[in-house]
Amino acid sequence: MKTFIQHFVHIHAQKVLIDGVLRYEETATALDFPAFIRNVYKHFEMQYPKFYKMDDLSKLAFVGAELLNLKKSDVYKSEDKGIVLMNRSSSLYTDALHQASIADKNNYFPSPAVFVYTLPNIAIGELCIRHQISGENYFFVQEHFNPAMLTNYVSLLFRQKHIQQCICGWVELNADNYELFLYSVEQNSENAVKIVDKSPIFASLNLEVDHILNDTDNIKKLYKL
Amino acid sequence: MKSAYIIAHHLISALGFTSKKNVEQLMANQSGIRLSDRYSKGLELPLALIDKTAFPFEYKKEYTYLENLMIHSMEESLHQASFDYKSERCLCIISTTKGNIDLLSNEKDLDIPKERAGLGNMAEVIQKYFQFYHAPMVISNACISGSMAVITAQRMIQEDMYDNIIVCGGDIASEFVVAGFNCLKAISHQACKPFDAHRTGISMGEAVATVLMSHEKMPSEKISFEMLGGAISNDANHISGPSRTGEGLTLAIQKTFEMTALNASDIDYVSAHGTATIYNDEMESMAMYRTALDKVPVNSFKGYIGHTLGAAGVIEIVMGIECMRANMLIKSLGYEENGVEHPLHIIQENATKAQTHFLKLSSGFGGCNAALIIQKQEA
Repeated sequence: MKTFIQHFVHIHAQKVLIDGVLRYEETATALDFPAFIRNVYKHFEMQYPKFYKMDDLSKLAFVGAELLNLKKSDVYKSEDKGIVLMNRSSSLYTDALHQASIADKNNYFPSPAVFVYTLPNIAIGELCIRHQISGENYFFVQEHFNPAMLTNYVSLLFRQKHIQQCICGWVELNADNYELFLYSVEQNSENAVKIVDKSPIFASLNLEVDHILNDTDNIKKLYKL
Repeated sequence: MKSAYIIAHHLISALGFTSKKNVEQLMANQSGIRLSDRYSKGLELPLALIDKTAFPFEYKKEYTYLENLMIHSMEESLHQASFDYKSERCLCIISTTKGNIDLLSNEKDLDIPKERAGLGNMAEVIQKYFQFYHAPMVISNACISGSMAVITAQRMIQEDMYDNIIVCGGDIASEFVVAGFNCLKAISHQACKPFDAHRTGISMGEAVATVLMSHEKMPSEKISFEMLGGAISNDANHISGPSRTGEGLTLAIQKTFEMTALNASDIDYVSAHGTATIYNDEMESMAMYRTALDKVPVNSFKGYIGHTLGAAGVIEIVMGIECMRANMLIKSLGYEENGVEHPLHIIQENATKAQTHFLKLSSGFGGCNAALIIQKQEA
């Protein structure tokens, strides 16, 4: 069964790319992640006050998913939509905050607002609430981005009719770095991004009438964009 | 489409170091929960801890506590089967929420690098130990991780992506999780009482559980267990509280029925998630009511082994299978008086009942839910 990439978003090194096109760049001196992601949120005029309560991993996933422009193609039932995410560091960045709050017996202050984010799939929960997604949801943790594992499993979910649309990708955040590569996939190509740009990176993709097929090779190439 | 069978298993929990020991303790209605302040200095809380003084294996210093347990459990499982686990046709799936989280605390295992707190890093250490062909797939989806791993394995075997899959679920008790659940006011000060009117929260547990899943039955076994199918859903409602209407879990159960062409009247027994928090048990009973499962015998194993997080699905599936093999319904420990809006058929005393299908339910933070059905087949 063929499935197609609707849109794809990259966020890393103070840049935001949508469908491979640079849409925002923080040119000021290096910002820390919280300041950077707040600027992106404001720049794209996002409106979702709960954003400010999220931990950093969820903020990254949230902003990425907003930029996928899912509303435009929202023709699926909530239960037919899924999310499959992967990263390296799970929720370890927030885990360290929780650990620091219990390290000193004389200054012991574990906080529910921090602890609830010490699971990577909380980011998925946030996206499910925002986009009313109630189907299959997976968080894989792998030492390296594993496009074959991701693509093979997402394809299985489509073939076995568990989902008709899916948000997929790599959402990594640790103390030193952040890297998001998020994309949406569906069975129909009607809503899929059209590749008319024939620059080398796009020319090497497996296309079907200008639409990007969701396969391991394509995901590998798009990730590196 | 191929079938997926659970052909071997091995359990480590507060009830003991083998599947056999765990099942014997269940049948005798013995709980592994004891009061302890090991992870909450000065405050005694009920915990279901593995007996570290009784390891039936040599503890390997270069591996963490959790890795030692996982390696032992996988080795003991693999001894029971004869397939080539180093082959390209074999995959290992690890389900865990927190992995080597104890490494974050400064007091622990200083000879082990802190990077091993990374779940992928831990998985590659285990891959290297066993010389698995593929890097293990690590599923970290809160408390449904274990059930998801079994569902995922079945789907991949069904499509002939692999012949054999080793599913290992594991999570250890730690100050990290105890302090966390305690600050959420989700921990009971006595052994947990799932579905009871006086329930006040969970009892933390720790466990490692392995199941071997294969496209082939064990030729020597008279009874086999086929994993028929399952589904995963999300409440899309709240990140740390379950839906009040049981919407997500209802959906997972309905999809599982659809997929397996079975319905509530085919289910002989339900192993509930039953954490004994006010919200979980209410939500779960609502979902069971909505799917006509409220008359089917149900228990929660949490009164025996506590809440074992990423291991919970795997260990409770094994317990469900063994109860089905013995045609036994096991008392839901801690239950005395109905405490949910839609009363369930809670198993109050051990009983015998012929069983063919059992349904496992799981729910977790992040709004996730899973349901799956296992069928007993007699040759």
